[in-house]
This record gives sequence, structure tokens and C-alpha cells, in this order.
Amino acid sequence: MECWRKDIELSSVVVQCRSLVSVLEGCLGPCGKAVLLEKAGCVIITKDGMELLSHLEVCDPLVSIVVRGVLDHTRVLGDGCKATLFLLHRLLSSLDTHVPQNSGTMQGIRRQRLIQIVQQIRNHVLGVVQRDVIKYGAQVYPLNSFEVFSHLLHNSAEDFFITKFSKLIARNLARLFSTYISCVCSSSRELVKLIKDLAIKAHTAVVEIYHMPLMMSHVLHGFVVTRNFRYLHRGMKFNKVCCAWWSMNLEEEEEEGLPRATIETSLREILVGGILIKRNSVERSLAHLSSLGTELVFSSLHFPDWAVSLCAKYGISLLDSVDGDERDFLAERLGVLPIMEERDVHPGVLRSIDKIEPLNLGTCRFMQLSGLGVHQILLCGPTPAQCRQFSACFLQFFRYLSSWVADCVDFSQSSDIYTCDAAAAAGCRDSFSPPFSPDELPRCELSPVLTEAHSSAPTSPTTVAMFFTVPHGGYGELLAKYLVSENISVNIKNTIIKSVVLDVFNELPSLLYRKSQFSQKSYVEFQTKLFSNFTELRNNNQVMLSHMLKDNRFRGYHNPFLLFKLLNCVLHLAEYLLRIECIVPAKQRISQRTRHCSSDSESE
Amino acid sequence: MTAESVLSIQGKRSSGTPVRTENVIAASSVANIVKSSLGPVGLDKMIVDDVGDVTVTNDGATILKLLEVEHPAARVLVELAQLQDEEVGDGTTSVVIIAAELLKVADELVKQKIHPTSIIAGYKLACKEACRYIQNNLTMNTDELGRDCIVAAAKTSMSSKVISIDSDFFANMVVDAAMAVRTSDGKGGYKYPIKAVNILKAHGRSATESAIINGYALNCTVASHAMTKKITNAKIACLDFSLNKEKMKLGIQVLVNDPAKLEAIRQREADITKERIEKILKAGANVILTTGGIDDLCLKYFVEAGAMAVRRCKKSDLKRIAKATGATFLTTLCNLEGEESFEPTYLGEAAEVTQERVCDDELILIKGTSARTASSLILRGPNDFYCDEMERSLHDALCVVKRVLESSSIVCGGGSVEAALSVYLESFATSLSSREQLAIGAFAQSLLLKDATDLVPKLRAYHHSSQIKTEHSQLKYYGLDLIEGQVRDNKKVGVFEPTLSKLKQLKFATEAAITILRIDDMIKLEQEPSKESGYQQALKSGQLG
Repeated sequence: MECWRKDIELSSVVVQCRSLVSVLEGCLGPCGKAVLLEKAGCVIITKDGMELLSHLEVCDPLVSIVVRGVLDHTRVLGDGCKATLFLLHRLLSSLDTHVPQNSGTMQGIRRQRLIQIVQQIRNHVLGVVQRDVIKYGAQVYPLNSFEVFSHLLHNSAEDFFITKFSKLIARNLARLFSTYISCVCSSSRELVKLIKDLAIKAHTAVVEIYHMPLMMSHVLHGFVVTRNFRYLHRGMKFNKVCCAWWSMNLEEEEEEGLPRATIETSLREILVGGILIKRNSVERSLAHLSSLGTELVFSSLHFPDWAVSLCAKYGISLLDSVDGDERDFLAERLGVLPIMEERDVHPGVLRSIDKIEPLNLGTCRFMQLSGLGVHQILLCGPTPAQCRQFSACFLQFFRYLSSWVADCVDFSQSSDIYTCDAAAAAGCRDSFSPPFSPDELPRCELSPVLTEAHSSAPTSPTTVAMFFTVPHGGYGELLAKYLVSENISVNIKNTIIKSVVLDVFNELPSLLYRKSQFSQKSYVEFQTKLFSNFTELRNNNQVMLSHMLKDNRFRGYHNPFLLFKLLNCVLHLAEYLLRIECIVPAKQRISQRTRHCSSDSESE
Repeated sequence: MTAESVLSIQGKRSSGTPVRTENVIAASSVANIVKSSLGPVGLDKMIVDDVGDVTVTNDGATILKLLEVEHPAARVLVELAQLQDEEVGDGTTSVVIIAAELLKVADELVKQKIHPTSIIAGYKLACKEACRYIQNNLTMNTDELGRDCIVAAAKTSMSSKVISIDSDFFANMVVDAAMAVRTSDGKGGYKYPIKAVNILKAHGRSATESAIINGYALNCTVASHAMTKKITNAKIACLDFSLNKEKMKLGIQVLVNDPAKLEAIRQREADITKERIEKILKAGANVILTTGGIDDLCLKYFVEAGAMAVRRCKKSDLKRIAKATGATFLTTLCNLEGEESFEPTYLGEAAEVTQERVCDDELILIKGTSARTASSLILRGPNDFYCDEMERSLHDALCVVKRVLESSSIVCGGGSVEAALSVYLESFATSLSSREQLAIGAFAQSLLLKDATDLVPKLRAYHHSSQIKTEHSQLKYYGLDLIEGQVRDNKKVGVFEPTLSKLKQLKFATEAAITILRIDDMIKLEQEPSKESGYQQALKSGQLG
């Protein structure tokens, strides 16, 4: 009697991953093409891996685990959804081909061997290669220079958006972003803090405006409430508006089965009084507010028509049904206390807003509040769907930046790379001159960014917060491949592990070059040329391996840590998948099997 | 002997050998499911239910729980795993496999015409003898070996799980967490209530970014943005009721004939909660944690008083917080007189309560609790499944650490105990002259079931010489190293298991095996076939056709 189970073959996992990869392959990188996805009549056109993956319905339990894992991870890192899948697919297929399946050995022992390989890569290869890629290949910029930092961010924003939208759109979005940061921040410290904040609440920075061309987007000084006046009093002035926050319940909550106090009367006045009881109390509060000089009432509740007419009666303008996030922001900024009951109406609940004006853009009628000391990006889009894509992309970009900056700060604290000379601290430069000995270092003051970002962790006073970047276009991967194949950073004795690592590092560049019409042959030629260039530079004792080849292929700024973060995730996932031996359906009836067996024996 | 007979009532009766064989087969089929997840080379199982929910696990108890076994004998084994999980927390896979193996060998003996009662007696004797031998000869005291061996025991427990690669990191984390919740039991010893270790999961980032936090972490945020986010010298009230506007209960009808009174009723409804809040605040509380809701109206009072209120906390969390801070977990404010009151003694104390951002998430941390210390683990992993499996593995490891610390005695893992016992019991069996010796021999045999066939004889040879020659007594700690495929000194390498776990495994497995062995008659009642509807009868009889 055997319990039903389905053994999972590694090769079938590879085939499943392959099918996912083939869907996403087309939209990788700046030259990628968008995918049109139709789901129940709703059409989505996107190049974003996260959006695509989350809309695909995956039935296979194993692949759905992969998809969920990748999505979760991307949600934290902000980028690299497709890359993670490609790397995972390459890793698994490479493992499958390099470790042959013997008929003699058990499945468990082969798996254990694969897991060991994965673990060795994760523990002994990844960290060293990351350190060396940054040591040899990364451009280093001081974080404390605001001009350099914001310039870098502008360029990386453009590079980031190009992978999601067309070139023109990307340029516009990047311009918006840099205008925004130059409006909001004046120092790197503020910028780092801003990026950290935005990663959790991007909605304070971006307002979506529908049915307007993207060209019309701009940065606005002030805060936009995405609601129009419900009622605007004709005599209301727009400067120095005295406002209050209304939270008193207006609608009677009708709950099923809850009996309430009932009036039993035949007198007409009492009956009318009973019906108008709520209205009267609201009217009293509004009258009181109006006598205190209130001109505007905000509320996150919906005002029914009778309440609106009451506002009109007392000359109070009304802005109701304010969105929850906006309400929280306003409550925090204005420090306004909500009016919950009649007793709450007193001069203490009133606040004054410097300026309030209607904002009419496209089909949107919004309110703009000034004097709160904030800026917002008004993001226009021709259709709501596109607009939402833009703003989602902004959110991803903020996450991407936040993890980049956090990694840079971590790295310059923990590793031996913080050796830098005065020139590095003073300004931007392209090459990293040797030597890497801490003794020759001038003692640099701790940058303010560091104290801000890591106030809890004790920092040594000699470290400088540095910003590490690598160029785009698979430079990091190719450099890593070179470092591994030449045994520079790590000497991998096991040929299988080495070839697996090389395969994995080769995956992304080869895909990218296939995109830009490189044939396989010319890609290999290019690679050899690059590697010989590296070797030449190394022989000349240059530590920095230039990314300037003759035809100047690599440019741009990219997060050097991202690749290794992704690889780490890939190795985790791969180990996890490899550990799964079989699929067992839950709730299988062992007793049925038994009965089946016994009936067999009966027949015998 | 009739194998099967039809009863006069609806049902089927079977007795004798077929029943026993069937039971044994069912038990071994259960064991076969979990067998391949044993030990450091074991792999995981993916369990998919009919809705498509997926669980990936290596934990024997979890696998069996999800399978919903129906066969009665197999159910005994499933319950056995659950029992081991509750009592010890680790070794669930082993106990099932030992029990199944005991049954298999017993079945062989029965086929050789040995009566089950002799086998049962032999098993009982063998189990007793084995436990005695473990306690006298194989245990080591942790006090001599120090903290390292506790970490090693935690690592051993993790070695078969998904976090095995980072076991160094997690083992230290687990031991730290267990040490942090140490409380005295009043008799000079210490207790380690591992339930006080709170485990939070957050996906994203890699597993090594998990963190241990001193103090209790609560996965909630303060109810209103206007509230203060840091309170020192906190006085904590733990409530199990909502602070919403009081509504009239069902079935009450109030008839009034004046609208002003209607308004008064409404006012009173609001005031009831307000008075409650005032009572709580007057007692000195500045942190209010509740399992229920707090509506906006009531939040205002807390904001005005400068207190911190957290709503929709988990009940289990609050119970633990109440224990840690010395607060009373209140389900109502009513006292014995039927009036509502709130005594200052109900409050718990903590040095600091803050809302902090830990790994992308806002958490409420309660630090410096007065009654007991607490610790929290925040686990990171690539996805939810991974986090769940990590939590299960850490729970097992925490249990192991707790057992080791409480009993302060350990044995070597990696098959060393089993090999030693089998050698010992075989020689013990020859010293007996009754029929039980066959059973004891069988018991010994069944303890040897690890896969590596060529290693086991070598291991047995070592243990044999350790038991005969005194100068070789060190060899008794030898066990298997399945990754390298050789025999090694597990004491030196640090493969330890708590003694308690091994003892319970043997005892439980023996008892379960005996329970199943005693069965020699099975009556299965069948459900009455449901009466078919008139339509179907008509269809069958062809009246419609």
C-alpha cells in the first residue's frame, strides 16, 4: 500500500520556469517590448515584470511559489523582478545539466549534492564577488555632496524609467523627479531621509491627474486634496482660511436586528422634533462653528444633502469625503483636532490655512492647500490606467533608491572598501586609485547622512558615506564573471560550481545583447575583448577596471548591490525548491487505499 | 480461523492475522511518507490541498496533521506524532518511524507463531532496560560542556530543516531568546516558557537579516496619528473588550415621548464608554492595549490625555504581555459588586513603550517589562511559505533548547544512541531465557533503520567494543555522518539531542506499537446507504425511459 505522491523532477521545474521566462523575456531592458495582456476584456499594456507576473494565473503549485517569492522580494527591493526569474531559471537548468542524474543514486542524495552547491555559492562566492565587483568596478561618489548626488539620482531615474516606458516618457518622468527633489531638499541628509520616507508612503509625493498629457505634469508647491468643494460659499476668501475638521457622524448607522429607542406619541410637534433630532444637533454645531469664524469644513465623511444645505445656510464652505491617507497627512501637519461631538466646538479646534485654491486640470477638480511646506508631483496621464502605471512606477523607483542608499551606507560601514582618499571625499571622480590600506587614509569626518540614517548603530568616525554605482548593460555581471573565471576574487576548485556560477553571471548580459541585435558570435567576441582589456588593466596595476571600452558601451548608473541581493534571493529560492521532494495531496484517504488493498486480497 | 465474516448488523468483522497485517501495513505506509524527511539529508514535502493551498515542510507532525489519515491504526501513529510534538517539540519524525519499525518486526515474530502478549511483554522490558541504559551510561551533563553544547543541540535540531545552512546564526539567536525568557520556578530551578518568545514574520529580504529584539514586539500601530509614539515608565492596561460607543443590546425597546429624551439616551450611550475610559486613565494607565476596537470618538479622549492606545491586538499577544508586565488581562470592568471600576493594581509596568520602524514595518515594542523578561524574533524570508517553515523549525529548536536547559542533560545524536542501545539490548536479550528475548532482539533490530547499510555494521562494531572494553568507552559517542558518509565522534562534532527527547521517543513509540499489536479483531460498521429519491428509483426502473 503506497500513499499517493508525485515526485518532483528537477528538469520539470526547469521546464515550468522556462515557460514563465519566455513570457517575460521580451520586455527585458531598455530595448524590451511591452506586452499586451488581456484579462476578462480588460487590457493591460506593460513592460513591468511585477505587473505582468501578478496578473498571470499560475496553476502549478511549485511555480506559484516561485512567483510569489519573486513578487514579495521585488516589492521590497523595487526592481529586478524579471532578472530574478531569469537568474533562477538559469541556475536550476545549469544545475540540472551539470550534475547528471545517475540511475544508481537516490533522488535524495542527488538533491543533497545540489543543495550543497547552492549553499557553497551563497556562503563562499557571493559575498567575495560582491566586494570585489565594487572594489574593481564601482564608481564611488561621496554622499555628502548634494549636487553630485542629485545628478546621479536624475540619471539613474532616467535609466530606471527607460526599462518601463518609452524614452520620451522616461525623460519626462526623470525630469519631474529631479525637479521634485531639488524643490524639497537642499542637502544630502534631507535627501536620504526623503528617500527613506517615500519608500513607505509615496502617495504624499505623487498626485494622479487623469486625461491630461504627461507633458503637463509639474511639481507643485503645496498639498493637493483630491476632492472638489462640495459646497463653495460665494463670499469665501481664499487666503488665511479658518478651517475645522468634522468627524461627527451624520448618517444613522442602521444595524440589522438592533432595536433602538422609539418615540411613541401622537403630538405632531414632538414627532417632527424627533425626526429632526440629528439635524438639529448638527445645525447647532455648525452655527457655533460659524460664529467662531470658520469658513471651511473638511471631513472624511460623506455629507448628505441636508447637511450640505445646512452648511450653505451658515455660509461655511465644505470639502467632504477626503481620502484616508490625505486625512492622516493633514491631521498630522495641521495638528487639527477632529470634532466628534457638540462639546468639541471651541476655538481650539480651528486652524488657519495660508491659501487654498481650486485646481482645475484635465477632468480633475482638486483643491490645493498652500503653506504646509510640502511639494507634490502632479503626474498627468492620458488615461487613468496609464497614470496609475506612472505612479506605481514612481513608488517602485523610491523603493529601489531606498534599498540602494541603505546598502551603500551599510557597505561603507562594514567592509574594507571605505578606504578612500581626500579626492574622493572632495568631489566626483571616475577611478579608484590604489592602495587600499587604511593607514594612508586621511581621517574624514562622519558625514551627516550617516548619523541621520543610522543614528542607532554606533559608527566609527573614520567612515565616509559613499555612493557606489556601476554602469548599466550587464557590466556588473560581466565583471563578476571575469573575476570568477580568472580566479581573482575567489578560487573555486570544484569545476561544477564554477561553471554554474559562470552560467548564472552570463545570463543577463547575454539576454541583453541578444536584444540589441548582437549575434552569439559577436557577443563572445565582445566579451573576450572586454576581458582582455580587464587583464591588461590589471597588469598595469590599475585596480579600477575601466568600463570604458573603445566603443564606449557601458554608461549610466545602476545599483551594484541589486544583482547580489537578487542572487541571494535566487539561491534561497533554489535551495527551497530543491528541498521539496514530492507533492503529497492533503486529505488523501489512506483508509480508502486500505480498503482497496483488502478487496484485492479478497479476490485472491 | 475465519478471516472475515459478515455480521448480522450492517458491518464487517475481520479478525486474526489479516487485521494485524493490515494495521502494520497502514502504519508503515504512514512511516514511509515521513521517512524521507528524516535527518540532515532529508528533503521536504509539498502538501497541496484541494483548494490549492500549499504547505512545504519537513516537520513530521505537520505533514501527518495535514494528511487527514482515516485508517484507525494509522491514526494512532499520527496522534503519536502530535503527542511527541506537544511533549517535546522535536523528534516527531523519528518517533513515527521507530513505532512503525517495531510493528513490522513484531509482525514477523507473530508469523513465526509467537504470541503477541509475549512480544508485548518483551517490548515493555526492552523499553525499560533501554531507558535505564540511556540514563546511566549515555547522558552527558550540560553544565560541564557549557553554552556551546546548547547551541550545538539547537543546531542539530535545525540540521534537517530549511535553515540548516544558517544554523550557526539561528542557533545562537534561539539560545539567546530562550535565555531571555528564563524565569525561576521557585524551587531553585529555572523554567523557560518558550511561549513567551514571540515570533513575527515579514517577507522580503534574506533569512540572515532576521533579528532578535529584547522586549515584546507587537505587530500593530497606534490607533491614531496624533498619539505620542514613545512613553517611558509605561503603565499598561490590557483589555479584552471594545471601547466603542455602547449600543443597546438586542431585544431592548425603550419607549419615550419626548425627543429630548431620545437625545439623552444617545448621549448616555456615548458617556458610558467615556466614563470607562476616564476610570482607566484615572488609575494611571498611559498605554492601553485592547483586542477590540476603539472608535474615533473614544480615541479623542486618549489623545487628549497623552496616552497611547492600540486596538485590534491579538488575544494571545495580550495574554503574554499581561504575563510579562504583571498586568491583569481584563475581560470586563465589572467588579464583584456589579459596579464598574479599574484598580491601579490591574496595570502592568514597563520601562518603555515605543513605536519603531523595524525592517520596513512599524512595530510596537514593549521594553523593560517588570514581571518577566521577553524576547521577540523577527524572521525574514523570500516568501510566506519560507517564513512559515522557518517558524516551525525555530519552534522545534526552541523546544529543544528549553528541554536541554531544563533537564541539563543531553545525549549524542546521529544514530549513536540507537546503535549503542541495539548492541546493548542484543547482549541483554541473550541473558534472558524466556521467549521475551526474541522480542527484545527484535526491538534492538528495529532501532537500526538508518539507510546507510555499510556504515551501520561499522558503527555497531565501535559501540560493541565500547561496551566490552573499558578503555574504549569513548567510542560510545560515535555516530553517523551522512553528508561525508563515514562514522565519527559526534561528541566532538557537536551533534546533541536532549535526553528527554530520546526517552520519550522510545516510550511513546513502544506504547503506540503495543496498542496496535493488541488489536486482533476489527469491526467496521458501514453507513446505511441513503435512500434514493423517487425520481432516481423511477429512472432506474425504467419508468421514465
